[in-house]
Amino acid sequence: MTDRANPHLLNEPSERADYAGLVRAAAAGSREAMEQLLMRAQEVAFRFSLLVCGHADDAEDVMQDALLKTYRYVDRIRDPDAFRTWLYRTVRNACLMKRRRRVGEPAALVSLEQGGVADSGEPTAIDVVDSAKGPDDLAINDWIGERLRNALMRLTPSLRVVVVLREMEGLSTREVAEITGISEANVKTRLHRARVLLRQQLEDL
Amino acid sequence: MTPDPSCTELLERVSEYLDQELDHDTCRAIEAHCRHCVGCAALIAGLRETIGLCRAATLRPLPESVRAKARTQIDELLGRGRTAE
Repeated sequence: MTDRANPHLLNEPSERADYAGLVRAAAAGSREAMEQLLMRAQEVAFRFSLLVCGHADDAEDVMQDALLKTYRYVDRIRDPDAFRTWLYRTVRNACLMKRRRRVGEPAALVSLEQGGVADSGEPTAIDVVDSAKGPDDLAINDWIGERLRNALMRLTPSLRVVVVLREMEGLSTREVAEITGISEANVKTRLHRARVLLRQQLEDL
Repeated sequence: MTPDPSCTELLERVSEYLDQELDHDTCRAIEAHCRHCVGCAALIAGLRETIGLCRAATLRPLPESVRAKARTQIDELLGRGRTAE
């Protein structure tokens, strides 16, 4: 059975083609295409840093990083269809770097894909929720929904990254596997676990 | 005819069911099971609701304050031209 992506976002063939089309047009010198591509890159960076890493105050730096790398990369990309997974990998790496630099972060950091889930399936650690503090937080909570945001942050990073990429970003299982460096079977296992835990969290909150 | 799955078997396959990755007969068997199992029916309904909530959340445009910052950064970058980074 073929892997089916979420039907609502950019993973439909036409949307992917649109992404690739933007890359080609931007590489050929279209300012408008470049602008649209950069806006998408920043939106991806913002959502990922907020929803996966949970640190709203990192989002601006991660957005800037995604912006510059996209701008530099567009001319050199050989396969425009691969742009999207490249972008998520880039954003993910930028988030990891930010986490490593954060003051007070535990010395031994668990990566977004490793650890955090015991063999029983129970989470072994919970990321600290970056609760609403900044001026944008009300707008962010209004956008994503505070209950969903808190429920996501109670998942371990290794589960959260899968559920965000698959359910919220609309990537396919194969794309999530490529971005996170785990097998497709593992993506499916984690997605299932994440869905069940997320449902429980939403009921409890 | 696919036999009626147990609740444990259904739990193991529910994500594949929701992602429409199972064959027709297995789907029908799960649906038949849910007609007489309130717990599994509630599980599937709850997971559907959770997935729907996730998908709906990111369909909304980002907060205007975030979009404004993004636009500013893009304008600065494009305004400087390709050689300056």
